[in-house]
Parts: sequence; C-alpha cells; structure tokens
Amino acid sequence: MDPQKYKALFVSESREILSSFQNELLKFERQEAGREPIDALFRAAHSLKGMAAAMSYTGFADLAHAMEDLADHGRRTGTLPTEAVDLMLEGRDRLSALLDEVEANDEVSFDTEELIGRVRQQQRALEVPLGADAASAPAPKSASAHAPEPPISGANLTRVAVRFSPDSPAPQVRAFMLHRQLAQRAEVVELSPSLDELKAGRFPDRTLVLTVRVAPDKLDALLAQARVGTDVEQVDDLGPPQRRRIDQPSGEPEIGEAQRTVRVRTEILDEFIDSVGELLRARDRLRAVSEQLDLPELNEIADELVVLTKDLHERVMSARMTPLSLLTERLPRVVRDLARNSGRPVELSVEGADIELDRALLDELHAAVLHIVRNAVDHGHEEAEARAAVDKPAALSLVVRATRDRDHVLIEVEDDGRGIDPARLRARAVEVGLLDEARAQALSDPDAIELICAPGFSTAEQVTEVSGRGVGMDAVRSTVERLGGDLQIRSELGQGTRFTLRLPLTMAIIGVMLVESGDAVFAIPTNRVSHARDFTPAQLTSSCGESLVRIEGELLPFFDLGALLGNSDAAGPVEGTVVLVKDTSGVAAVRVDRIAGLQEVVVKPLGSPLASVDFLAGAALLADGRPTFVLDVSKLVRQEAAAA
Amino acid sequence: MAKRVLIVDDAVFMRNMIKDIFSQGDFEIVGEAANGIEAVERYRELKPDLTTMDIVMPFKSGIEATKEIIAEDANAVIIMCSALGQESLVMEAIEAGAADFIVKPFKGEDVLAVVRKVLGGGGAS
Repeated sequence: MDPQKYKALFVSESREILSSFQNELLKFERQEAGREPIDALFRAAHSLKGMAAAMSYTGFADLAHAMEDLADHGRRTGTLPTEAVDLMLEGRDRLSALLDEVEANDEVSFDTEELIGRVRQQQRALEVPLGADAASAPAPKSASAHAPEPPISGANLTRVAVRFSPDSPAPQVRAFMLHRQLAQRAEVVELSPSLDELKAGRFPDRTLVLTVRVAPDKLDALLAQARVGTDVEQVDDLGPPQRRRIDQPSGEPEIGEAQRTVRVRTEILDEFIDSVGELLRARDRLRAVSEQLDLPELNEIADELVVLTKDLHERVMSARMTPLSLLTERLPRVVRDLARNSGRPVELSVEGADIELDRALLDELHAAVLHIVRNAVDHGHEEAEARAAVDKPAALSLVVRATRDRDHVLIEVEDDGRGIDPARLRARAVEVGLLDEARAQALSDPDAIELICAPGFSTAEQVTEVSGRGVGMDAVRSTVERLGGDLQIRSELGQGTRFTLRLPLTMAIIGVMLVESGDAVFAIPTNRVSHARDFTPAQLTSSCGESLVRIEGELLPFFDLGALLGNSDAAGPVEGTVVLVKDTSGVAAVRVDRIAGLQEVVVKPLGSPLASVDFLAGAALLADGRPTFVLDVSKLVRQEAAAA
Repeated sequence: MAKRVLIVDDAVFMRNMIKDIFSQGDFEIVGEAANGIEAVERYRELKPDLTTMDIVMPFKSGIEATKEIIAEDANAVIIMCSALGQESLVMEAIEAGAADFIVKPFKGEDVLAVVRKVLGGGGAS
C-alpha cells in the first residue's frame, strides 16, 4: 500500500487529535474533570504514534511515543509536574509544526531526537521515586531459568524449550497463545516463565520452557497443531518491550446516540455559499421573467423555487455555524504561557463557548480576541504588591464571555487589572501628533480611551508603558468592523477594562444601501447608514481646510465619493444626495449622485492589490450580476479626520 | 463467499488503512465503529465473520468490547490491533477469547496472513 495517499488524512486527523490536546492537558494540570483529561491525552498520543508509525514517520512516532509514556505516568500517578506539562506542550507544538511540514513537503526530516531525549529524561526522573520499590524488588527467581531441573517426574512428561523469532514484535503474547493452545490439548505441568511473568512482560531470551504430560511420540503433532501461526511473525520492528501494564480507560461519560458526522473542508462550505448566492440570483431573474410572461404555471414554479432556495440558503448557513469554543479552547494555553512568561498569575474563565458563529467570522476573530487577551495580561496586569494593596486577588481575573443578542453575538473580554488611564492617552495623542492639546483636552474620558484604536497611535516604546494597550488595536477594530460589527471599550482606572465585540452571527450576507457616483455603484452596509438627505453645494463650508457640510444645523465632515475615486468635478461637488454614515467615532457625510436601492449581498474579501485600498471593505455581486465594492465606512470617517 | 468484516478503530486513518488491506482479498467491509460502545452495537447488528479491534479507544476500550462480544457470541472472531507495549492487554483479550492479534505498524500481507490463519483454523481457540 502507498502511505502517501494517506497523507492528507493523516495530517487532518492528526490535527484534529492535537486540537484538543492542550486543553485536556491544561485541564489535567488544574485537576479538573477527573481522569478523563489524562486518559484523553494518553489516547491522543497513542493514536498519533500508531498513525505516524504506519506512515513511517519515525521521528514523529517516537516523539508521540515518548509523550504517551509521559501521559501514562500522569495516568498512573494522577499528576504531572509543571516541567512535564511544559514538555508535553512543547511536544504538542512540535508535532503540530511537523504536520505543517508534512503537509507542505514530500520529504521531511523529523528532527525530534533532542526533544524526545528531554521528554524521556523527564519521564525517568519521575519514575525513579515512584518505581524505586518495583525496580529493586527481586525478579521471581524462575524467570531467568532457561532450563530448570525437572520439578516433576512421572510418566509421559516431556520438556520442551520453544524459542521465538526475534522478529516477533510481541513474543510473550505468542508464547502465551502457544501455552493456551497446548493447554487445551494436554496438561501443561510446568511453564517457565509463568503466565503471570509473561503478562508482566518478563520473557528472557524469548524462550518458553514447557513440561507437558503427553506421550513423547505425540508431542510433535501436538506442537505442530498448537504452533500454527505462533511463530509466523509479521512486522519488522523489534526490541523486547518492557512496559508496565496499561490500565484501560475507565469512568467514561455517556456517549448517547452516536454522532453521525462527516468532515467537510471549510472551503467547500464557502463554495456552497457562492453557489447558493448564484442560485438566488438565477431565481430572481426567473422570477422577473415569469412575472413578465405571466404564465400561471411558470409563476408557480418560480414561487416554489423561492421557498426552496430560501430553505437551502438557511441550511447552508447553519452548516457553517461553528461553536465559539473553536476559538476559546486555544485561550487557556495562550494565557498559561503569558502568565508563565510574565510571572504573574491569571485566572481565565470562559463563558458561553457553545454559542455558534459563522465559521468565517470565527477565523477572522481569532487574532482579534487573542490580541485583546494578550494585551490584558501584558499591560493590564499590575504588580503583585499593587494588587495586594487594593485587596485584589493575586491572579488577574480574565473573563471571556459570549452572549447572544438576537442576530448578534457579543464577545466580551474583561479583566480586573489596572484599567486604561485616559489622561495618559490624551498626552500620548498630543505627543504623536494625533491631536492638538486643546482637542485632546476636549475629549471625554470614554472618547480618550477610544484613542487606543487610532491608527498609528501606539509605538513600540509604548509596549512597556502603563497605557500600552494601543499595539495593534486599530487592526482589531478594523477587523471587527469589516465583519459588520463594532468594538466598545469600557475602562475604570484601577478597576479593569472590558472590550465588547458585537458581531453579526453570520458575515456572509449583509444588507447594503447601493449608491451611485458617476458610472459606478457602491454599497454601504446599512448598519452604518444613519440617514440620507438632499444635498446642494450651498450647504458646504470649510474650517481649517476641512470640508464640512451643514445638515439640520449640524456641521459634519464632508467628502465626495466621486472625488475619492478621482472623478471630482473641477467645479466641486454638484447637487445630489448625502448619506450620513456613522461609526463609533462619529458621523460623516458622503455625497453621492443618487441612492439606487437596498439589497442583501454576499460580501467577499478583496484580493491584492485592491485589498490595500483603504476605504474598500470588500466586493459583492448584485442581484443583476454586476459587481460592486462595499465601502469601509469607518476608514472613510477616520481618513477624513486624519486629513483634517 | 466473501468474508464479512467489521473494523473498529477510533482513527479514521487507521480504519481506511485496514479497509485497504482487506480490499486485496475476498472480503466485504460490512461496518465500522469508532469506539468500544459502537463496536458492541455494530457487532450485534451485523454479526460479521471477522472483527478487527483497536485497543485504546474512547468510551469503552477494545478489551471491554471484546469481552462483551465474546460473552454474547462465543464464536466471534476478533483480531486485536495492538501496539508495542500492549502485550499484557493483548493477553487479556486473548484470555477473553480474541482469536489473534496484529501489532501496529503492520503490513498488509502480515494482516492477511493472520486473518487467513484464524479464519482457516476455525476461529478462536
């Protein structure tokens, strides 16, 4: 058989096995959930070992084997020291990296010896105190007696020594089976090693000495019968194994009805969505034609198709729903590493991990949530003395909580750390030239806190500072907004900080307002539109070089979609419509020629080079088949602010 | 007539590999199970001529499943799929009535040799 053809399955199944590995390990370390986590770890390492061996990935299999043995120690003793858990995590990471290599390359050198050495060393160090009794206990004396004196005399007693092939991977089992077969046909009066010794893995020289009560001339026939196959050895591997008895997993949870599932690559689900999108458009065209022709039968079919496609759409969308746990189960490891590295303890709790989100959203959110969590530990965590002084527990409390809010999900990351200091953020904004002193001072505290999401706000030196949460928060915000959500930050100095990500349950289809500028049609997500007004150039004014438009007594930042696209009229904006768009940092007015309607569209991310165009969030196909761009409103609003 | 085979292993990878091995002979894969509980259920339902049984599985080990199956059907032919280091477990399975064993990583011809032996030899000892 050709192992290469199993490679994809090997990689995907190994990944799946590894995915739960570290959380089980951390659960075990925290002594949660009894035996199950360590049993699961043992099974995981064991499965990986077997699969890798079948693929002849020796270095991979050996590492998994060493980890299996370490897990076995954990099973037997109910505990593993922190260093052993570290090694298990390191091993898990290495296996995971090796899988990437296996997937990408035909030839992989599994350079795992050094790590295996450390895992083995750790295991030996653990075994010594525990195994001391067993190791020093005298081996049963008959065990090594290859040819003991006949203990029994009598008629028809025959002694034979049976030596097993060195190729046999489990000679003691073969010996055990031989004895069993013989014993069914004749009386075995003496056996060395004994059955118990065989079971315990003691089988010196692979030689079994039997004394059987049988007529000498019958012995050959008897042995021939009993030996069928017992010498026939398969498998190249060798080495007398000397492992202890392995207990079976126990205390298993109820399985309930077996889940009947198949695994589907997420890209296939994406393709489904595309196809369903196409189907929706075809349906709409058919619908239009049937209305024109007004054939009752065709109308009926079109109506039926509407119901069916709607149903299909919902089913495909539900197939894409994935529990948030896919994201949150990676958090304990991250938090553990952060806490270990910083030397400051963190108590993580996750709530609502069973809430389901569109898979594509989850993938995008992952980095954002990790970033917030990292910042909370890196920058929100006070020194131990500072926490003690205000009676906070030593461990930073970090809560990641998901809740449903109709068709949205709220993901909150909350800590009880030092909080964000608005005064420092104001000072920082002035320092980096983002705001002048007067504007900075005019900001309310909540608005000042929002500054951490301003592009270019953070710098490397700030990472070490108290208020250094700014690193990459602008990326977090734009991710969330691109997904059709928003980000809220609440912080009390000395009390802690809460980030709230509010996201639609699915990203695939969003409502948009279509607007026209020149020949082009653009889409603005309806959740970003506050309202629209007629526009005349007379409403325009300017302040400090910034274009403003007066709408119902209010002055709002103004820009012309045509100008943004490089189609500006030399005479300046002409009459048309302004669409008022909002984001958390304010409202802006966008002039367009006219509003072309509302529609639901499937938003696709942009590829290079369009992805670098700042004010585009994605692309979509309209019902009539025309492509359109979806505007990134927040970027527009901020670009305007930055230009000011 | 093709021998009817039930494959029990918690790894899809292993099941596929074993399936491939059996595709080289006169066998029909009638079912698969991914844990000990499923194994017993599927055995009951399918009454296969031959069952390959992984040992380390969630919910119920292959040893427990073997014991339960043999208790219900003394003529069941079960081949344990073991790994190095599991000798004592294999002996336990054989005491319980398993017909034979193979050791991972295995080669196709070795598996078929064991299978031919146990089926040709009238099954469990």
